[in-house]
Parts: sequence; C-alpha cells; structure tokens
Amino acid sequence: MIKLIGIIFIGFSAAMIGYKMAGNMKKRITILDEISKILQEMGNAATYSMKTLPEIIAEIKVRDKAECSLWLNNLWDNLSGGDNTHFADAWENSLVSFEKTTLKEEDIELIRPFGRRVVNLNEDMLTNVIGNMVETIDVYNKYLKDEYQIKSTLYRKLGILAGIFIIIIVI
Amino acid sequence: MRIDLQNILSSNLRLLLKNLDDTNLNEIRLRAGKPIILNMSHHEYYIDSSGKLCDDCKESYLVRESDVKETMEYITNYSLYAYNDEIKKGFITVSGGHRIGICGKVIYEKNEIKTIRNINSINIRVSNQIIGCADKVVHCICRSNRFVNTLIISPPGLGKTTLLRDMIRIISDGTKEFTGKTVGVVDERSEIASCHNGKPQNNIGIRTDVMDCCMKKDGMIMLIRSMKPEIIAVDEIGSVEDAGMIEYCSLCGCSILATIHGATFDEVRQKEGIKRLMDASVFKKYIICGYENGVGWKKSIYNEKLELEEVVCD
Repeated sequence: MIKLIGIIFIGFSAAMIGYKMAGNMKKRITILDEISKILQEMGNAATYSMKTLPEIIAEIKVRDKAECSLWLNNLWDNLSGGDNTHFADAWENSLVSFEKTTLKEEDIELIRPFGRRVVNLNEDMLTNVIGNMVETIDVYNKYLKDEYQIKSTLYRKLGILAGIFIIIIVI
Repeated sequence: MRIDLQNILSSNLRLLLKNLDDTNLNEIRLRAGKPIILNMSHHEYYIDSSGKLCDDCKESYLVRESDVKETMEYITNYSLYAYNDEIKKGFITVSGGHRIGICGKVIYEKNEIKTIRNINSINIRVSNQIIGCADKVVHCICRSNRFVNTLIISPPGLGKTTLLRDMIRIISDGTKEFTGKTVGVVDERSEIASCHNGKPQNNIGIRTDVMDCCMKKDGMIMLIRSMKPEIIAVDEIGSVEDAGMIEYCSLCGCSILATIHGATFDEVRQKEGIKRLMDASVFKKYIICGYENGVGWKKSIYNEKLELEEVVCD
C-alpha cells in the first residue's frame, strides 16, 4: 500500500514539475509586461505632470502590489536614502529584487542599461528613451510568448510522461 | 559645509568640500576640465585634492565632466525635464535658496529657447541672507506708520537685493515702532525670496506674498487686484515699462520698494523712465549702497530733493 502511494506521489510530482516550469515561464512574461507598463506610466507622468522621477516612483510603488512591488520599493529606498546616489546605481541595486523572481539573468540585463540612460534628459529625449525601452521589452516579450506557446505544452506533456515513466519503472 | 549645499554636489566634490567653512562662501564655479573656483568674500580660491583652500590654480582639483553631470543629476532630482522652464531662463533655485546658473548648448525652436543641452559649467550662487542688515535703514523710510516710496541704488554686488530682502522681512513682520504690513513681492528672477517648489527659502516675513518668476508688469497688476498689498517690492527696475507700472501702483495707494543698478543719481537719471519718476518725485527716499575702504558697507539715505539725510555704516 505504502509502495503504491509512493509511486503515485512520485509520478504526480514529476508531472507537477512540468507544470511548474510552464508556470514560471508564464510568470516571467507577466513580470516583463508589468515592467513595461510601469515604464510607460513613468513616461506619461513625466510628460503630463512634470513630476520628478523619485516622485513618480513613490506614486507608482504605492499602487503596485504585484510582482514589481519589491523592486519599486527597493528603487525608492535607494533614491530617498538621504545620501545622494546616482540614479544608475540606485537602478542597478534595485534590480537585485528580481533575483528572487522567475526572471532570468538575460531578462534583467535587458532593463539594466535604462538607469544609465534616463537621467539628465529633456522631455523629448526622456520620451524617446522610455519609448525605446518599452518597445525593446515588448519585442522580447513577444518572442517569449511565442516560445511559451510551444514550450508550455512541451513541459506539461514531458512532466506527465516522466511521471508515467517513473511509475512504470518503479512497478 | 552646510548639508543643503553638500546634497547638490557630486560625490567627489562632496568629499573635497565637506569640511570647508562656508561662512563667507559666495559662489562655487564648476567647469568641466577646469579648476574648481570658490568665491569667498569676493576673493577667488581653489581647492586642492586634499580639500584645502589654495591660491595656485595648478594645485587645484580639476572638475571632471562626470562631476558636472552628477551634480546636475542631484540639482534636478534626477529629472532635468521637470526643470526645463527654469533651465530656459538659465538658472535653477534649489532647496536652501541657492541659485544654480548653468551653461551649455542652447537649443532654439521657433526663435525661442527650447532647452539647454550638454551642460558644461555650473555656478552655484550660495544664498546668504543677512538678517538685520536693514535694521538701521527701515526707520528712515517710515513716516507715521506708513512707508514712503523708496528706491535703492547700487552697483552690482554691493548688496541691494540683500538689503531689499531684509527690508521686506522687517516691514512684513513689524517692529515696536510700526505694525507689520502686507508686502507683495514680484520676484522676476527668484532672487528675493528664492522660491523652491513655490516655497520661499529666505525669511521674507509673515505678511509677504510672492509672485515668483513673474514679469514685473504682470506681477504688480496681479498683486494689486488680488492680494491687497500695502507695499510692493520689486528688484532691478530700469525700463520705461517698469517706470509706468510703478507710477500706476503708487496711484493705487501702494508704497513701492524698488532697486536699480547704478552708482550715482546721474547714472540712474540716464534711464528715461526712471528720470521721469525722479522728476515727478514718485520716490520720496533714495538709498545708495556703497563700499569705502576703512568705512566698509555704507548706505546713504537721500530725500526726494536728493539731499543727503543720513549715512548708515555696517
């Protein structure tokens, strides 16, 4: 009886690993989408209300309760620490928050240069830089979404098959 | 060095200047690739790489391009775009009332300045409000609890705006001799109140309303219509238009406190509008600021007939 429960449990776990891998990929896309939306919101607030970047980040961080909340809070803490910090350094340090998420190193590398590019810009240049970053993320995300369509099914099926395979072997 | 100044400097410059005694500091000049120059008590000094004042520019710390960029980052709170209106005028007022003059590549659009890019030199004009510098002067322009139209005449750099600011503070707060008056200030270049985010950074009294970054002709009318000032204070008058507005305000029951560039009455009279005001005896008192070796700062007070009434020395 115990052997049977063990076999079912192992098989189920293997199937679930496949589902988790597909889920992680979905979450990665969601986070990148959210970053893209936050950047667009930053651009809009900068253009229409002429607020400073720290003011905008402070506003967004209060509203955002999802995956990027930790990152925004971290960025805000770095900027408002009292001891002046380069925006690029504050941005760089805040990206550490994404290490605990499903984002991969290559995803973080994609948004890393933004901190260096965004300061000391006039309105037009800021709009261009933010627009460029948003477009880059969106193009990358589109590629990930296409990949997700194929890989998510593959991961799930592989998980289930691996589970069945393990069950057969153990029996 | 005071914290509000440290906060706008790049990390390298902050380290260099943090132990500097800024009591007599007037200006910090940063030019990319050039020595850092400090103007203290109207003398120029350099700073060596250990943070000590020196007279030899060869020993001076050379300002890097990154220092200028980083300093601009802190001055504009990482958001140059949000300060574009100020940048177009060539200066930004920061917390503490310090005025930051900037130079770089000026971009024009439709014959108007659009912005300044590639900022390569910064002049930090340190706000040094001298509380009490007008103590001995204010009573001279008060007649039975009412202030007379007064013109402060001074060459650049001899403290006419500092004197005006302190007169505004005293008149606004009131003293034992007179009650506080409502003062309206038209601060065309944010020099009097040094407003940052709309808040005056200098002490200009409890009954003072400031029209910041507003042209004199517009600000004076708006103040009269909406704020009911007893006294209107303006800095650096000179044009015929200014003179016309002052005439108008003085006919509206407001007293005028104004400053003008010049060293003597003859110089001031050469400005057409001001000559007209002087001939019509619009100003009842004139204060000429000057500096004399052995005497120091002195303020000579004249009546409307241009007769010397009193000399006040600091």
